[in-house]
Formats: sequence, structure tokens, C-alpha cells
Amino acid sequence: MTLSLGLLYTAGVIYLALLFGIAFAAERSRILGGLAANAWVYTLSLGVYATSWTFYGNLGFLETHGYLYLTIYLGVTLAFAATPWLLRPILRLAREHQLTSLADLFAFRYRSRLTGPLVALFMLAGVLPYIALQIKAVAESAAVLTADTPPHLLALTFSATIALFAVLFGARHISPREKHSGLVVAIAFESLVKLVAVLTIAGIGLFAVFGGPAGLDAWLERHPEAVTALYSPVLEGGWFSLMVLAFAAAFLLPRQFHMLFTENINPRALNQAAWGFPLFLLLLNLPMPVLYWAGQAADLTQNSNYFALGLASWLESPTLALLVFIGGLSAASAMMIVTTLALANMSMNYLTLPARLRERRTLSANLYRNLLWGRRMWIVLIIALGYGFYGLLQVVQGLAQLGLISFAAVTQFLPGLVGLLLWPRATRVGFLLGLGAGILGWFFSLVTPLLGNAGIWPSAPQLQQTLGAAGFDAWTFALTLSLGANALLFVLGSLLSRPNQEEVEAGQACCPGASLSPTAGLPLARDVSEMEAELGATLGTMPARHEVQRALDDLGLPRHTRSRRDLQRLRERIERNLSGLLGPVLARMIVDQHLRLDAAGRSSLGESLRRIEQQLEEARLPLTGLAAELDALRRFHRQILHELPLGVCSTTAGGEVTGWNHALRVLTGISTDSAVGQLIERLERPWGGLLLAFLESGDRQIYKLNLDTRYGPRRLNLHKSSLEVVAGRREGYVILIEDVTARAQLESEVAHGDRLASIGRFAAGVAHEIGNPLAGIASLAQTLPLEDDPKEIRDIADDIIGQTHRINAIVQSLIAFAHSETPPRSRFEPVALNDLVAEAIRLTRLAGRKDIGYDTSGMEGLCLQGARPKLLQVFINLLTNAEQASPPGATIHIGAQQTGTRARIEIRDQGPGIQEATIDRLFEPFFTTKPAGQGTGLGLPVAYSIVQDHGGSLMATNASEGGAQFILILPLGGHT
Amino acid sequence: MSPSIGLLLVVVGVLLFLSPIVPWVATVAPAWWWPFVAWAAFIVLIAVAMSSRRDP
Repeated sequence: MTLSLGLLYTAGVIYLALLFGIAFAAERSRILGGLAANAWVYTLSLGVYATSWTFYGNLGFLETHGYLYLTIYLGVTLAFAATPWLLRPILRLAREHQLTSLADLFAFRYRSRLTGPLVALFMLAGVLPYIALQIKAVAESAAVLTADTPPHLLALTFSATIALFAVLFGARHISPREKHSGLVVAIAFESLVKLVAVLTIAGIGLFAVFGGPAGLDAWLERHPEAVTALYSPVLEGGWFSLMVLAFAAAFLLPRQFHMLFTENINPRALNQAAWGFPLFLLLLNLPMPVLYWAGQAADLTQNSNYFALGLASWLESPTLALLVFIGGLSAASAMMIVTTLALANMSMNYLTLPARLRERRTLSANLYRNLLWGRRMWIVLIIALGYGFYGLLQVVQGLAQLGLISFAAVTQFLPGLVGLLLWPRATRVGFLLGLGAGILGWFFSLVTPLLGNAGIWPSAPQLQQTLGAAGFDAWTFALTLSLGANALLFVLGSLLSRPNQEEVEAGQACCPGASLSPTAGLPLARDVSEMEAELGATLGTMPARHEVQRALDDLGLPRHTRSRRDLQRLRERIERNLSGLLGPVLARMIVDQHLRLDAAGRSSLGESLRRIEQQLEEARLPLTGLAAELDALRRFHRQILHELPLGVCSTTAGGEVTGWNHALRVLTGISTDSAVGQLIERLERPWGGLLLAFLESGDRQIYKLNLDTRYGPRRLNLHKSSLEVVAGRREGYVILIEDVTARAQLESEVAHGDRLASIGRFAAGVAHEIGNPLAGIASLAQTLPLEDDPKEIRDIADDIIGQTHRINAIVQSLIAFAHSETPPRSRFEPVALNDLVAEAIRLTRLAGRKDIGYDTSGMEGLCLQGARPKLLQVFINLLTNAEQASPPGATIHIGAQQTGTRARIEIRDQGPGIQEATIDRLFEPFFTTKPAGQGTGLGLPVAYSIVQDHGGSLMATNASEGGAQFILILPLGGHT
Repeated sequence: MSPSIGLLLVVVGVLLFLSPIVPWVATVAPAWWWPFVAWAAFIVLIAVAMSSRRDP
């Protein structure tokens, strides 16, 4: 049975068009596109590993190497078993730093301008045989079905069609994050087709050739050498080497890296892929011995690579033949599409763009368009090179041989990858030396023998024979030589060279559980527009604007932000996004060049701590041992600070808020998220202005500040402390904000109560004081009718009026005292100390003892600044206290003197003085030394509070000459 | 599942597929499906370990 070439070509194009339709629909439809995040779809998409080598070449490999063919899949299974410590950390790095290829990964870690290009070039060279293998397999499979020589035209047309579809699949538009949901879904579909095709032909072959499993068993009993032939090659060596090659290829081949890490949408899907993908490979490989024996039993004459097609022909089933052909086409096309996409990005970023940047100093006015066309050109070029390689190597019979050369090439990245994940000390020098040695070893142990055997380079050196290692199998020799030299030079080179600062940081970022240290500096750009303009010089105006906007959107930052912390975060995000587009080296170069940092304004300790905390929270790393204990301690301290009933705000030396606790959030209504990172003056009114003024003032405290907030008037105490941590360098400030509104209210109520009590006391004195003039008035009034002399009458009337004035003065004093309100500090007025004390003495005498004398001195000309009624209450309270402590006939001395801008007033009695045990408690509310019922314990606290409100101080002590002494310090005002 | 259990899985895999068990099985040459059974058992082990993993 033969099929026409036209039919095969038509079927192939229809199938590829179907794939494109699936990819297109997945990108357009949210439901289909969502499938890309599905764990099963992701797992199936990894099936791109199974190329035409698996589909066709497995049988040929099985024929010559028996069960050694299983190593290619068991190695992958081992690699996926290592998901938690191998694949997941790579995925984390790729996602966090937008690393889209293996070259990106190595260039990020081993910072050198050579790293990316070397990896890209070697990857390109290493994978070309593999692409050639796919073209060869498709061409030869067509030849089997058409019973013709391998149709070169078909190979060329297939290559061109794949190039077109690769462009359509992955280079239709620029996707900065390299997530092509359509590609993932289409490749998963291809994997399903491969699996169905293999299982179908094997199942049909089993029943058609053997009559079922029992028939196969019977056949195997008749041919025991068939099973022995599978096992015996394992004893001949190569098992370990091939396992290692497959282990590395599982995630280092460009297509595997691309589907595993770059196209991963849902990181959790990796957990399922860890066992789902090996299961897929198991299902794909289980039928291989059956297919091979079926081919043998059916006496097929074709190359054993194509037994599946031969079996379909033997069964005379064009449908089955077409299905197998489509399965093989599916395997080859998936590999070629994904590989060329991955290699094109890598080549563009590391071979084209750096050269262009060196030549022109700018990437392009239209970066995205040029990137897109650059990638398309590379796709076409890579497939053309693959086709050229196919033309050269047609004489090579084994498909597996070509594939294994590519496996051995990517295995050379294994030492560098181990160093990347586990050895922060590894350096770029070690990596480049090791990789260089590995490349040479690979070339001379695998490529030159291939070229020599193919007759392309007949005199090619045969290293294995030259070194007398002919006893080893070729793969063990090649792997030992190349990988051994690679690993040795990698370690030696790393130990003998010093990593630079960038490498140290990258090394820390790559090791599990580590994080990037904060950028050493703050951006010089003052706002987003300035950053945009700077970037535009290299990226072009439109791409720069787009990239900045994308980074702003990612971070949820407003365009108008001027916060230096925001700008710093924006800078980092731009670098990461550009890394996804251009690779980490170019991205770092562009960002360093255009978004320069202010080295002097490096991040404060507080900011560094905050970032580390943020990274710890985001990473949720399982800390152990001392690190866990320190983290618990940190959390405990953080919690204390957060839950403190005092408002706590910390800032950098530049005034950027780095801490804003819960109490402050409640007090101000400004959330922690919106406060942290802001310059303090940009905080919502009135807080920005208040805190900035406080930071800039020389005061370390401000007491009882009245402030109108959105929640009404508040009274606050502010305290400030500067943080000087490292080498005398000021790291920032801590501001404590105490809301004393409730306490001030209570104090006001207490003062009011005290005033009422004073009024009560005064009432009795008033009654007495008024009684005397009233008695005088009554007496004068009685004598008035008896007087005839007009002069006497006038004198009596004057006396009555005088007595009335006296009564009025007493009453007015009481009324004024009773109705006193506290004016705000802005409305304080000058109060003559002399008058104030005289008034206080008079009022005290009204209610108090008449046997006490008052001696005043030094008050002339002194004028206090304050609220007269309040200051009057202070003196009344102090004088009342002194009077109550004084023995009969004693004198209370009131002396004053000016000290700078303040008045120092001493009130001294002749009582027993104050006991040392009680002196510290005198100003506590309700504390009294008087017998129960004789004192409220409010007089002195109220006086203390009023003095504080006036910005003064009140102290109690014992005078050297005996008796208690109260010292008042009050600010002086102008003249009355 | 912690990385250490992942490491343990690989050790089991290495013992299963890279230890002297391999040449011994090849020498004994049991039924053809034996390697596939061992492979399937290892996959089941990975699946069980992975299903207990709770990633953040």
C-alpha cells in the first residue's frame, strides 16, 4: 500500500492549520485560553519532549540498544522527581526575574557580556542536529508511505511550512511576558495526538499480528531471544551516561525550558507535572516493544525506525497510515516550533540586540516592531540552518544518534546550573571556562566522529581512539570527557577568581531561600515623566512610554507619584519587564545607563529592613533553626510596634515614611500602605505639614498641640528621636504621636470641678465679705433720715456708694472666676503678675483664714503670657494649699524674678514642708495628705495641668528655711 | 513537600534505576514488562509525595 505525496502534504498542512486554529482560538477565547493554566494541559504541553525521535526513532534505538532506550525517559522521570529542589527554584527565578530562556538564566547569574552570547551560540549549534533529525524523520516517513526516495522537496516544503507556523504561533505579536496560551494548548493537543497515534497502532498491531496479549506471550515463548535482546544491551554499558543526558535534557533543552518555565502560567501545575509527565512518557513508551515485535513478527522490511508506518501499510489501512504519519508530523512540528521560538528569542537578545546597541547606541525608534521582525528572521534562519544540517547528514542512519548529540550539548550546562542553584561562590570566570571546555569536549568526542563517519570530514580526529578509550561506549566517553572537564574547570575557575558585587547579589538571589538585596541607591529621576524621557533615548519614545506604563500598572502606582521609593520600585519593575523582552543583561545595561541611582542617597537601614520583611512575607519561606527564631523575634517586635497604643512613624533621613503603625492609622485615617513610601510632606493635610514642621524644628517634643483633623479637633503630644546607626550617619527619624484628647478632656472636667469647689468655698467668704459692707450700708441708711446737713448726707451717700462698689468688686471677681473659659493658645494675652497675685490673694482670703499674712516681692513690671482666669486659678490653688499648711499667724512669701523670657515665681509657706515620700505624687489627681473630707486632691494637679498648657512648669520642693515651696516657671508676654 | 523529601525521592530513583539492581535485572531478564512496572511504581511514589505538597 502506498499513499500519494500530495495526500500526505495536504493532510500535513490541514493538521498544522488545525493546530494554528486551536492556538488562535485559545488566544482569543477566555475559556480556551484558560485551559493553558490547567495542570493537565500544562503536563501534556511538556510532551514536546517526545519528538519524532520518540515516535519513530525509539524503535530503531530499541533494535540496536534494547532497553537502553528507556534511559531517555527514566532520566526525565528522575529530573521531575527532583521538582522541589531543582525545577521549582528555576521556575521561581524565571518568574521573579522574567527570565525567558536558559541564556537569560545564566546571563542573570554569571554577569558577563560573554555569557549570554556563548550560551545562545552553543545552544544553537547543539540543537541544529535535533532540528535536522525532525526534518529527516518527516521526510523519511513520507518516503516509507510513498515508497519513494526521501522527497527533498517535501523536506524543504515541510521546513518552510513549519517556519511559517512558528512565526504564526509565537511571533505574531510581541508578548513581553512570553506567555502564549495558544501555544500551550496547541502543543498539549499535539501531545495527545502523538499518544493516541502510538497507542492505536500498537493496539491494532497487537491484535492484528499476535491476536491479542495472549498471542504476544505465546510468540515471546517461542522467541525468548526477543526479551533477552532487550535486556542484554543494558549490560554493555551506557545506561548511566544516557540517564544523565536525559536528566539534563528534561529541563535544559530549549523547548523544555520554554514550556516548563517560560510558558508556565500556573506554578502549581508543576506539582502535577512532576508525576503526570513521567506518566505520559510511560504510556508513550510502553507500546514500543510491542510495536517492534509486531514489526518483526510481520516480517517488515523497512528501517525499524518506521515500523509503525510499515505496520499500517502491512495492514493495508490508509487511515491508520495517515494517523501514524500525522502523529510523527505532530511530534516533529511541535519540537521545531517550540525550539525555534526559544532559540529565536535567545539569539535576538544575545546576538542581534547587543551588536545593534554597540553600533547605534539606540535599539530602535520602534523597538517592538524590530524585535518582532528580528525574531521572525531568526526563526526562518534557524529552520534554514536545520535544513542545511539535514542535507549534510542524510547519510546518518540513526535518529537517536542525532538527538543524543543535542542532549550531550545541553548537558554541558549542568555544572553551571548546579552552581547557579547551590553555590553562591561560583563565578562567571568558572562558568565560561567550564562551558568552553565542555564545548570542546563535546565537539571532539561527538561531532567530529559523526562528521568523520558521514564522510563529511574523513580526516576528523577520532579522540576516543587517540586517547586509547575505545573500550568505553561512545556516550560514556563523551560524557566523561566533556562534563568532567567542564565541572573541573568550573570549580577551579570559580575558586581562583573573585565574584564582583553584581555576581554576589545574583548568587544570593539564585540560591533557595535567598532574596535580592535592595538596590544600592535611589533614582535620580524626580518623576515618572523624567524616567520615561531617559528611557526613550534608547528604547524609543513610544516603547519607553509603554514600558513605564506597564510597570506602573503592574505595581498599581499612580503616574503622578514622586515618591522616591515608588520610583525605585518602578525602576526595578521596568528592569524586570525589559528583562522579559530583551534579556537581563541588556535590561540591566539600559536601566543602569538611563535610570541612574543617587549613590549618596542609598537606602536607609529602615528601608532595607522593610524590603527584606516584604520579601520574607511574599516568599513565605520555611525558615528553620536560628533564622526561624530570629524571624519570630522580628515578628514579635514588629507586632509590638504595630500594636503600640502610641502612633509611631519612622522616616528616612530624606523624609520618606518607612513605618506607620496601627494607632497612627486610626488617628490619621491614612492607611499604612499609602503612607509608607511617601515623602512626609506629601501626606494628607494636616499631617504632612505638621510632621514636616516637627521634623525640621529643633524641638524634640511638642505638648498638647491642638489640631483639627478629619475626625474633629485632637490634642496631641509629639516626640521625636533621630536614628543614627551606622558610622554617625543619620538613618532617619522616629516620631511618636500621643493622642491626649481624652486626657485633656478629663483634665478640663477635673479643672471645672475644682473651680466649682473653689466657688463653693468662696461663696461663704463672699457672704461674709458682702455682709460687712451691707451692715455698713444698713447703718448708714438708718442714720441718713436723721441728718439735715446736706454735706453729711452727701458723705453718707458716698460711703454707701463706696460700700456698694466694694460689694460689686467682690461679686464681679466671683462671676469672672466662675465663668472663665480657656482660650486657645493663640489668644493668650499679657497678664500683669502683680494684679494677678493681688486678685488671687483677695479671693483666697475670701474663703480662707484671715490670720495669714502675704508678702510679695519682685513682681513689678513682670507680665505673663496666658489666659488670666486660668492663671488666677493656679495662684488661688497654690495659695490655698500654702494657707492650709501654714500655722496660725504665718506669712506666705510670694517672690518673682525674670529668667530670660520666663518668670520664676516662688510661693513659700511656713508649714511643716512636704514629706519626701509624697513629693513625687503631689501632682497626681485625687492624691491628698489632708484628712478625709478635707481635701479633694485636685488643686495641685489642676494647677500643674494649666501651667503645662501655658508651656510652663511647676515643681514642688522644701525650702531651705523650712516650709514647702512651689516654683512656677511661666512664659513672659508683652506689656499690659 | 520539602526539598529534602524531593531529594529522598531522587535517591530512591537513583537506587532503582542507577544501582546494581539494573544489571542484575538485565542478567535475570524477567518478563519484558518488569522495567515498566518499576517505572510506574516510581511514578506512583512521586505522585503520592507531590499530593502531600502544599505550596504557598
